[in-house]
Amino acid sequence: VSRMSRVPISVAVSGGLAALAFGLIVYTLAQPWGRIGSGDALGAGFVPLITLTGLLVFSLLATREPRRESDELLSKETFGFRIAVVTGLSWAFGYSLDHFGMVVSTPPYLALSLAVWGARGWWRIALVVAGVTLALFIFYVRLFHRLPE
Amino acid sequence: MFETFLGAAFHALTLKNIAAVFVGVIVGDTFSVIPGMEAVQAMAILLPLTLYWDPIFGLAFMVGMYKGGCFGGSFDSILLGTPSNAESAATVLDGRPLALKGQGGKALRMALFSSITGDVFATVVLMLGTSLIAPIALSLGPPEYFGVVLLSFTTISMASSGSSYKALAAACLGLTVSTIGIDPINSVQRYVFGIFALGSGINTIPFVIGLLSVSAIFLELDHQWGGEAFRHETLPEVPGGHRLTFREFLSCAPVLIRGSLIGSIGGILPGHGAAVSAFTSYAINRKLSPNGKYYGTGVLEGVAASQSADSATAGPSLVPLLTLGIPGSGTAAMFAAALIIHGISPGPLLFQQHADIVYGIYVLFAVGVIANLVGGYALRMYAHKIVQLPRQYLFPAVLLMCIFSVYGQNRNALDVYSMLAFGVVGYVLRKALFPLAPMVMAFILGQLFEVPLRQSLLLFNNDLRGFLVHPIAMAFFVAALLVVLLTSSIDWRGLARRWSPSRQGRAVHDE
Repeated sequence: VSRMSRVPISVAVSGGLAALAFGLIVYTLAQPWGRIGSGDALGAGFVPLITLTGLLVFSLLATREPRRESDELLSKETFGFRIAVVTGLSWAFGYSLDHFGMVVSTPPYLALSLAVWGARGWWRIALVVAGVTLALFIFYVRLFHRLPE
Repeated sequence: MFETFLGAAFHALTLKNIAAVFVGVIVGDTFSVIPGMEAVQAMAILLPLTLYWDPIFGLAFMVGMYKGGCFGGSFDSILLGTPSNAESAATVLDGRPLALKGQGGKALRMALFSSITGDVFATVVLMLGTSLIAPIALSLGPPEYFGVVLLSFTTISMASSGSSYKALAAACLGLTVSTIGIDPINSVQRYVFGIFALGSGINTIPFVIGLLSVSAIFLELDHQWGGEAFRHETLPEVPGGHRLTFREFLSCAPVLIRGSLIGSIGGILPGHGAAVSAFTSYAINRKLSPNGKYYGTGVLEGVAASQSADSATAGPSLVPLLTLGIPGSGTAAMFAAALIIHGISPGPLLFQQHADIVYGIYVLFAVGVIANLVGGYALRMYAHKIVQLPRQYLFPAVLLMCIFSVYGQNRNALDVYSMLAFGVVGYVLRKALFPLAPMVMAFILGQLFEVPLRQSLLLFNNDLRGFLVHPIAMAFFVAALLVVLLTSSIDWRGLARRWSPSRQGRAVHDE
């Protein structure tokens, strides 16, 4: 068993948050608006330094907590490949909404999303894509005029 | 005042607004029936639409969704035995055994009528609570106001389920995110890192939808492939098992009253929430009822105890928001966002500047009671069909709605990217068992935390001792400290042992 696979996810994430807080504290102190001891000591950097110190302290304390049963161990499968694919697809969809509009972008995005989610049968996917696209087109484009056609 | 109320009621009671409440109830009910989704996520997804509506019309829709969500969650608890949210988890305890006995219909009817009873209490407490607290809130200065906000932060964090450290860390993270952009006092840019889009701060809607809704969808995708896909099981049918007699309902009256009172009180306390109220009501009623020993085996009283308390928190949770500007729950935070995007600041001045809005909310809550009853009855006809919908078709469509809602606000892909980024952050935090409600509430409360603190310090010449001569502010600080000390899951002795130098080298996480 590798060392990584014995670390609970909550410990890894809490540790990551503590590192982030520490990095941001250093960054804040390095900024003209966040320097302690200057005339602006209680200025723009004051509240972020309080909240970041809180984040650092509580994240560190969270790493020391006993592990719960529901707390999985960190592994290669922890943060799924499919979540990365769906995020990437949605990212590309956001871009295509800007350039091609709703009607052109939605069917391919939805069909690919359904496939990633595990939907099977091309006719069923086609039916769902057509139905959902039409419903959302009526709702967001025709009824509320929120999207470019 | 009475004239203002009548005027507001007249303005709120249009056919359009009443229809919005009814549609909202159906949407809230439907969303909360979908396993893995909650009314707060529906409110987050549809919040951007309200931006372009008349404020009262938008609020009518939100009130409906809020009310519908309170009852909708009981379907999953009773029919599936897997609550779709924490609020309806207590309903499983007796609702599921009733369904397994072939009395699922009866349990659902009891849940609906309990929800309506709680709802009536909630509406009355909302009206009385805001009327009593609003004049007091007006007399608070920046130091006292900071005290109230600090107390709210601690109660919200400490009342979250799970680890207190994680809840406090999540609240600090939410506060830190709220500081991105222009500083409210000195107008200096903070944490912008040369990215132009961050100059005006993090947009509330992508943040809320990403953190609450998208992260839940990602987690569902995770479960889908972790072998936890939903399987529908057939429940037994018993002749007459779906009917609830008036006598059966009346026998639960003491439980309903106790549950509604517990829920109403719990709703006013920031962060206490419906889940805590529902379990508290269940535990107290179990002790006080002569049938207490049968709780957990499938008794109607158990369903009434949890469901009445759950629904009774709905109105009172808006009391701290409308009077002090503090959203005491995730759903109240959605109301706060709905008011803020219309340029209406919830808080002490709301009664003076927008009394019509406050009275309009009262009236809409009263309409919501009837809408909840009608919507709940309608939902019983199609809820089992929603429950059986395959998730692999349902969730991509919900994600698509999230994208459209966010994109439609400014027609800017950057909002979609930011929503996805917060979705991933929320998903990682969920996996690490961090509660997300304190983070969302802290983000929305961010300005309320910073501005009174900095104003107070300006008044005190940057001397923190200035707070000492403000007894009301000090009382709130002491109360906040007591909340942390008394309600936290922190094992102070264990902590001291763990951090003592002699134990530094040892591993503390037992596996």
